[in-house]
Amino acid sequence: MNSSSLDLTEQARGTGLKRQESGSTLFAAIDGAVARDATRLAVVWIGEDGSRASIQAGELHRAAMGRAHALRRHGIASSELVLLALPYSPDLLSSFLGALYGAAIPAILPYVSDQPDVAAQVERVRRLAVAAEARAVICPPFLAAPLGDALRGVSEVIDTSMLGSVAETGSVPASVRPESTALIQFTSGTTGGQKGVRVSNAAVLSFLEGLAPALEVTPRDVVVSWLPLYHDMGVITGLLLPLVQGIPTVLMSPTHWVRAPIVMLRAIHDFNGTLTWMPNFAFSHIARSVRDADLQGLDLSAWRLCMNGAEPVREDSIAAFCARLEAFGMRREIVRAGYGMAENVLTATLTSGPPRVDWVSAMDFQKRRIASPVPASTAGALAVVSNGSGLAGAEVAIADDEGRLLPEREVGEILVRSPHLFDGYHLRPDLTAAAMRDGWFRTGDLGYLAAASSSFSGRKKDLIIVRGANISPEEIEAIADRTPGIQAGRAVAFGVADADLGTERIVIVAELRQPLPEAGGPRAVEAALRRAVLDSLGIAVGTVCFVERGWITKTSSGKLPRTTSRARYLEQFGETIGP
Amino acid sequence: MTREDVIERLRFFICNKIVKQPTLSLRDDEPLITGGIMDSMALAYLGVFIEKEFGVQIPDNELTTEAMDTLGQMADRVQRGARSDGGG
Repeated sequence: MNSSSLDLTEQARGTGLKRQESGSTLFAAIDGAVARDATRLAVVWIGEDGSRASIQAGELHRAAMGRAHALRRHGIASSELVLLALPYSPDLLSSFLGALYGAAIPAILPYVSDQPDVAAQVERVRRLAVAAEARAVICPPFLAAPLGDALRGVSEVIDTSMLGSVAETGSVPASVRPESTALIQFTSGTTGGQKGVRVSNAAVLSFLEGLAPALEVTPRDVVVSWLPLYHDMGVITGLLLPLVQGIPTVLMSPTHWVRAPIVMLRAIHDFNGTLTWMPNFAFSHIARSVRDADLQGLDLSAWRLCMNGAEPVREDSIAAFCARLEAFGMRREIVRAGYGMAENVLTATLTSGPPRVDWVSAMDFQKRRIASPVPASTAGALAVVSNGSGLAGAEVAIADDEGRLLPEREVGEILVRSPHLFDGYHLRPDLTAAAMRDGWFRTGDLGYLAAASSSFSGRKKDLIIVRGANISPEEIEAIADRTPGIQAGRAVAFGVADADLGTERIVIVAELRQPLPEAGGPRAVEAALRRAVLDSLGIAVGTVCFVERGWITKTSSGKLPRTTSRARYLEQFGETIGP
Repeated sequence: MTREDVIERLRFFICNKIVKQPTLSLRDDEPLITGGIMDSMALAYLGVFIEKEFGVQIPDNELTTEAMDTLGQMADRVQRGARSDGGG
């Protein structure tokens, strides 16, 4: 144990952050892959109606160049932020790549296509455009008028019909440098509001150059992805990895897959899909919501790596997934567990085989912050899934609250250092400074090291992670505060691990005003609260629980005690939420 | 099976397996998806439940927010399917 502690200390004393100078840009890398074979299949686009469009590498490249020139003609200059508020479509790909090629900084926004409320969508885009000081927002024609009104004097609104669909060849309109920011990934912070993670061209390429050999990617590989492209895992693995590596990617919209998860399995069968990435909840969703009849005749044996990441990995989700699919040629050995974050481009650690469970003493874990191994059969033993070891040059260490590195099996904050860390949070040098310590990125997650593997075991910050998306409890609590009938400042939000869903469920515990001024009673207050969270954040709350006055105890600093409320909630209502 | 029976079984499933608030009272005409009570992922889960519970298969393209937003809409769809399958 002492020797590992020393090793870690030595690492920390090293030269600190060393950025890999790959001397190239994403445009140059994709351009090179296209030059090798412009007619190869780059993208298969599966439409919601089941249609399939094949796009050649050269075709997509020229469409993106056309967009790059069109954006320049609209006066978008280098390093200016362009938000993409577009439906999930091939147009999104060329617009994103066009901005990237033309040296602007693209950021893809969540676009909920089945959300009927245009006003709520406009408000979400407006808030982000203002906070991020976006130069322009690209949107579909039907959003142009309402967005134009909302963003007057803030950002230019460009609808896709103004960009045309002219494919161009030749040179890009501006030269991109390796160190210039390639894209911004927006993610929720703990204190509400969105943080924009800026990653450079060199960082994305350094990550991809480390990832491809680690996964032994060959020209025969085919990526299949339904992940949203506004999510780092979606845009990096579903689009940029395949384009840079010159392998096909089969894409379908997240809403299509959610409604019919069989779509992805059918694509693996039809296109001999080999590589997939999904958050843990997707393993549960497929296991639970695919129909037996739809599986008949599928051959999934080409599938060679099935990555589970972006939220805590659960062994029961993986077991249920394998039990459903093994009869159709999917093998359990292909499952990998990963851990990462946008600040490291994506994956920081990955297992080399199916994730192992480390059984540890719950008592030692909670009281002494030590992960002591115990037999699985021990009463109260805690199952922690291993996330593997450093990928693509990333290193992981564990530190205590004072920043001292901890030896193996001591629980502390997970730190990540790699050749491809982010450039900082967009317009927030204060948050960037707070997140970095001696060249290490402080993840805010809790974990420990054991036998050269790291295990994620919880969160230091109060972030809720639902289906791989970070949700800030402050944002939900602020909505509750504004909901008529709820006592101001007396609502707490937290996540509860849900075995059925394979992800966290959002729970809101709140005290009601007495007497309730509104007609309809608590049920009407609950309905208003659920609708307000849906409108504002685009997500459904799991459980709303009203409690008597005084149930939520505040600390002397006035901060809402989420941890104690969560523990009290689980103790009091635990029987209704399953294991 | 009466429409009320179908609604009762759907209500039990949604309250216990999806929202996990067994005591939640849901009106037959209450919007569940546009009301933020369940999401479209739960709808796929519900589709499998309906197939197992009532023997009615609802095609994926009919499992939409517009067509399945309330208990009443769901029950009507189940009963229509049961009749056309000759079951019930």
